[in-house]
Amino acid sequence: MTEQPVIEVRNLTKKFKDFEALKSPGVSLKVMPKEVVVIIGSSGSGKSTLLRCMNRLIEPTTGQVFFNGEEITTKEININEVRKSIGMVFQQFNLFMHLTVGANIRLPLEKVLKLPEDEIKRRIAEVLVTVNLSEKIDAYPGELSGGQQQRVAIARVFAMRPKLIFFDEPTSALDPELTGEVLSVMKKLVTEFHYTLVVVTHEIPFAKELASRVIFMDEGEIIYRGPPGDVFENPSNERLKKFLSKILEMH
Amino acid sequence: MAVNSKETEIETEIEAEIEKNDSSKLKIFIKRFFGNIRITKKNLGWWCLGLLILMLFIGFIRTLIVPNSNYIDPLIMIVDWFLLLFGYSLEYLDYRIPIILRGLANAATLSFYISLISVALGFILAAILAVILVNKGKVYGFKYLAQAYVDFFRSTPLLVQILMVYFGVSGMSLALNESYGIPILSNVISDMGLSYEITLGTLALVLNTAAYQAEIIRAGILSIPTGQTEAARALGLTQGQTMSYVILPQTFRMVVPPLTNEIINVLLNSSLLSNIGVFELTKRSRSLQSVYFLWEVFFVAAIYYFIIAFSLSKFTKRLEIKLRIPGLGVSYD
Repeated sequence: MTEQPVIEVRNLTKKFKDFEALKSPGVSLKVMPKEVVVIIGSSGSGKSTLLRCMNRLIEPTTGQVFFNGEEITTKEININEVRKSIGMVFQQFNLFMHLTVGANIRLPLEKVLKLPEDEIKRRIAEVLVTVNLSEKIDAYPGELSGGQQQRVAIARVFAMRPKLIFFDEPTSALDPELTGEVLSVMKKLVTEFHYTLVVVTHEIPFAKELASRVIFMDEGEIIYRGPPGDVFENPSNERLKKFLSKILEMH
Repeated sequence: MAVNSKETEIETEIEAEIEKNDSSKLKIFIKRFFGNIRITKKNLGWWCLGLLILMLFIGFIRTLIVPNSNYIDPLIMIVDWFLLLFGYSLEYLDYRIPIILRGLANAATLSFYISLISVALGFILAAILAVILVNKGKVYGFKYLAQAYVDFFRSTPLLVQILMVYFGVSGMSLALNESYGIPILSNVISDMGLSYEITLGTLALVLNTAAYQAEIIRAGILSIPTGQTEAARALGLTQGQTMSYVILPQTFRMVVPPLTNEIINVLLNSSLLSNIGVFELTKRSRSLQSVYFLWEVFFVAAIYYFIIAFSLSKFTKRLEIKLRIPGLGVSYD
């Protein structure tokens, strides 16, 4: 018996007013449990749109998304129930500025999962230890560095114990020094907790080390997919080669 | 040098001994407490404001004990004592001055209460309107209605609105009484122990300020980055929860400065209520002027308006600093 994919995308297209972010015939994608899928590609290639369509932050134009074998693109489904088990970490951290670190993590646990008080406290303490920020529990996001903020954002998602976490360029807004601490937390999620991740990133070393599959997107289509060894060591696609040489030039 | 250091050692020992003593502990506490109080250029305004409020408070307590007294009496007394140094008193200078000061003080309280209640009620109405206005959902009918309301009350003169509410409500109430036998509103309100003019005037102010405040709050909501909504929705919060736990708490901190403007506007606009016979500051000063033929009455009224508006702006400034969120909007100076 084959394993069921955590999330499956079939022929997804998205058209904004005069811009096709995901082109027809559409993007198809399967993410298996405990897999780390890394999506690379230049900006404007539809990576973030794909990610947001998968938890319906953006409504796809056509196509279907299945979460644990259940279609979530129908109108009847309560998307808030689904989002409980799909975490998302953003490029701009998006912590709630008016709440302390502790309160940021507490809000979804209290209002969405409706956990008992002692369980909430236990989880807050636990996730803050995981991301190494226990002493910052009463600090406001405005008082933290970018790297610390992103770690809190990861902790906030992690505390919900989702089945799957999306990372939308988690390190793009950080300088190289702070990138390391965020990546090490992400590494922890994979190696210690065996989470399923879908990561949009430009961090090639991270992709090489942890990705089980790499997907290359360009102009709204998936151009190439394969294990990281294939993609980075001997790319067979012309556009992929071009993209990689540009990225390597930069670093 | 060596001798000096020995002396200081002895001194510190003595101080330590003194500290053990109970009565001197109190002295040190008093010294510490009052040592923190300093009058500088920066907080001089606060000191004056504090003293003023203290005097008014004492005056208010006094009105509870002494019959036929006014809460401004202690202030007048102080001015009297000051003038006594030069051999004058207020009544000796002009018998009308204390009467005017007292009469206008009562009217100023009325103006103050009217504007405060209007702003508070208007805020509640405005928050509801603003949430409807920014809503992208399916409540289209409501949205058009709210937009029409805001547009109407922002694009017509307040005086016309006041007259419309006053005469319109009165007329409708009479008509309803004739055809359906519903009790006349003015009787209902006066049975409740309220003044009919003040109630309807306040209603007109509430309706007016709600439209302006709705626009302020709408702008505040739109100034919160979309990332906040995105993050909240991605965590599984519903649209309503996102609004009430994430967007509105941040909005209220952003809108304190523009709301200060609106509070002052309402206070100053409340002078238009004089047209429907509310005896607030302006109306009272007009009637006093017609009795005593003194233009200075209006000057006193202006000073009263200034004191109220200025202290309100001072307090909202304080509120701004209290509600400050690190890294968001309003900052410390």
